[in-house]
Amino acid sequence: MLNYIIRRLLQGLVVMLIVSFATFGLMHLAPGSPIDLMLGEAGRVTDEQIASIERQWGLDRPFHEQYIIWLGNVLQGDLGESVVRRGVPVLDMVSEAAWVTIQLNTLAIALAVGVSLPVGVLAATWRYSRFDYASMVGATLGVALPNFWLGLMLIILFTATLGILPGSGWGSWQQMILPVIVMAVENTAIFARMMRSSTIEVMTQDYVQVAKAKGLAQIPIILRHVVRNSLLPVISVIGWRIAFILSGTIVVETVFGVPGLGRLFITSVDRLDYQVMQGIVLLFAVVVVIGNLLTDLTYAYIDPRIRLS
Amino acid sequence: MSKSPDEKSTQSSAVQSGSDDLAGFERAQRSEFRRAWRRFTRYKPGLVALVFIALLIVLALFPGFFAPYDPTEIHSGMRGASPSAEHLIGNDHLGRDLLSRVIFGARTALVVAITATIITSIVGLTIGTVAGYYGSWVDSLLSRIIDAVMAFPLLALVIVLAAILGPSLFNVTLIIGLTFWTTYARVVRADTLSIRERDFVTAARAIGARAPRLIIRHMLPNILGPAIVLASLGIGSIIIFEAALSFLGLGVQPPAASWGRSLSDARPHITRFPHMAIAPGVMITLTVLAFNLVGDGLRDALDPRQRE
Repeated sequence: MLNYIIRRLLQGLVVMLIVSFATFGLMHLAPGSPIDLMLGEAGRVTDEQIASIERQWGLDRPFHEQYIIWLGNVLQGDLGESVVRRGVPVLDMVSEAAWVTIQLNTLAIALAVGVSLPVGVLAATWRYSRFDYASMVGATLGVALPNFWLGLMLIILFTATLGILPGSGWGSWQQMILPVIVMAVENTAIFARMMRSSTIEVMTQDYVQVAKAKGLAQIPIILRHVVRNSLLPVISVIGWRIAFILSGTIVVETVFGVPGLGRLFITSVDRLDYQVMQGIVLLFAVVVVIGNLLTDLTYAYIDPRIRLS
Repeated sequence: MSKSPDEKSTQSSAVQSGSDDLAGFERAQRSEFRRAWRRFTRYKPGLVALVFIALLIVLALFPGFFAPYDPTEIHSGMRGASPSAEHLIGNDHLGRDLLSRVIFGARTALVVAITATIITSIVGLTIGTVAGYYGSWVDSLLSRIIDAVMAFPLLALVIVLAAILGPSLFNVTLIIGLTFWTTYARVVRADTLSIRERDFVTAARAIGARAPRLIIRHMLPNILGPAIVLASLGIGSIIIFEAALSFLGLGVQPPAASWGRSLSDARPHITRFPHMAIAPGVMITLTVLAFNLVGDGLRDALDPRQRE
């Protein structure tokens, strides 16, 4: 196990280095230096003034030196300052928005798990029943529904027509309902499908047959012997889906005007606020790498077959 | 993992091709195709979906023939008009005919989806086979690069690139094509790793076949099935991505028609003209659903291991 942990940690470290380099390089490709953006409307600026700012910000140094300085700053928690909102540290903007995104997605994942697990288990237990058929049709549809369109449809129904739920903002529980539902739909569909197929697989195992043969009733068999084992693949999928969840949050937060990381990202893209974009993309990637690492380690801890192969 | 009969048949075709018996190779492939087709047709939803996609392709090839109006023509006095006899699903906020825009949007969706899928398959197959075949440090390096690309939420990566390169149909296709390949590469790598150790590869190597020939003639035919399945299942998410990008204003630029763009147009007018938001979304959902169902059918037909 120790060997596996060390190997995975080293891999994670290498991946994070590549990720940080790619993020920095990507923003470097962007047209127009931050100075142009800052001074764009300020009128006439002499070349000496530009040169002095470049020196101050280290923009006159070679690329690799800039990268190392930037990486050093990032490791100390300094993500730079927003170019558009002058003087506001990116870290402050990002952490404020991150709290909202964490709330939204924790609620959405809880909802998805809460709905999909029982649906998946019941669909597997009553295989080929009407319930099974209906829930799997629902799951197939749930994967195909684009979240931004579903969001618009719910706004038309609950905000514009019925007028019972607000269609934008974040704070009151009424404002949370629609974005949380939309964020949860795709994951619910995916988890339910996985839970169903893994439950079906576990039910064919010998120990379940033994439990059946010794006369245990169906409900205790499912609760005690089946679900505990069929849960494994679903738990790991949650970890591996973090990247997709973050992609989803960008769109859903924009549709519902939720002041989280996703919307901050889109507004900074619109304003070409590269420092903020860079900070958010880096944060996203780090969260994904750490999330995947933790998932792999948990999985290896629970299932020895992984770490030994 | 037990060998299924289909696996054996592709395997024997690969061995035959090794002796340059071209006629025999083609015959074996044709019957393999026929068998796969028979397995595919057993999955009825997949068949219905295939018909839907065929109709959509016809629509995308000749949109001018089916669309009642020019999609960019502004009909005066028809701003946000509800469905009527002249404009079957109504007009948008500028007075353009929605049905025509939805029909022309099919072309955008399919062009992006198909081109990006081709790019992504080529990149994924190349990187996956090279990593799996050469192993050692090449594999480690490529695997870490795959991990690094996968660490970025795809939409964030695509948005940053679109913002940097500038939004256009060409750039959107290229960006999606060059970022979606990681899953393909991973699956292809794993398949290559396991096939590399099989007897027929060793045999071919023993006769003196070199790496490119080994990979292309002997290993690729055995990897292609799962790769095709993955590609077909990926088309749906590519369509959603193009729509999402256009919805966020970073995809296809106006006045070109795109389903995502139409939804983005509808958004500010959602309370006054809700009909604007319905048809484009229904089309995205149906198209994605259709490609997913065809993908499920292909999985049953080509990749028996992955059957649920």
